[in-house]
Amino acid sequence: MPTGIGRDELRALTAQEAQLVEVLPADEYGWAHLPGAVNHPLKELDARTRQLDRSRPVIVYCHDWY
Amino acid sequence: MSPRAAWRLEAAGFGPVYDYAAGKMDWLAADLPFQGTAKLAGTFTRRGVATVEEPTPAAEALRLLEAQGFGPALVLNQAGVVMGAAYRDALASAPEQATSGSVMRFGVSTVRPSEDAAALAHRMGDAEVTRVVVTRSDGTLVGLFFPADVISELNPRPRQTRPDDLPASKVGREPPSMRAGRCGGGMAGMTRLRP
Repeated sequence: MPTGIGRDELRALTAQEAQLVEVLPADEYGWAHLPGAVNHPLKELDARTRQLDRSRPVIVYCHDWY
Repeated sequence: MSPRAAWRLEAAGFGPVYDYAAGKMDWLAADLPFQGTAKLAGTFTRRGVATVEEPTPAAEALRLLEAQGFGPALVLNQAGVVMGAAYRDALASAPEQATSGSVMRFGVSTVRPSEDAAALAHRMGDAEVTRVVVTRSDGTLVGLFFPADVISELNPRPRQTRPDDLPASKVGREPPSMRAGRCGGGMAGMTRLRP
């Protein structure tokens, strides 16, 4: 079951080399994204999973709660 | 959207998977660094604001305000949360023993640093507001945003034309920050700040 996290936990996990993935469309990613995040839009996520490192934790995020 | 992504990744064999459900706008509203083309209010916010606490003598607040050259002086609590604003006129006319807290104005409108700078500048221009307090989502101070600071760089629409009068094709694309989850509100209730 995925674990919900907040900002502080996100910073701690990325400091430990967790992968940060924005799942919004590319234009939203280009507008602004968290430092070091890669862009794998939700619609393309299944096809792009091979680009992620299975040995490292993954953090996903989108725009906000909704 | 991110919960679906998290569950799909976990189903695909990734682990552990974490979901930062508050998302990008939570990050930007906290005035944290980002990458991308966005021109946000936080980028243009003046950080060197005169700040005092409620017990600070009004005379001291006035000295700080005049040394800074712009204001108002913002009254913070011990957690750095903005509790009010002390304006030059009120400070200058305060009795000798007055504190900043006794002359500060409550109910100061605030915006988040995640606001699109041009959109905010336009809203403020329409409302004839010259500056606004920028705070993080927890109420702590970021600084003061002056629309004039972004006018030349962002080249906004001419002031004589109101956005509502323009056809959508001329208004331009709405920034992603305005599509959902807006943190800041309109200018309703915002005090027109004096120079």
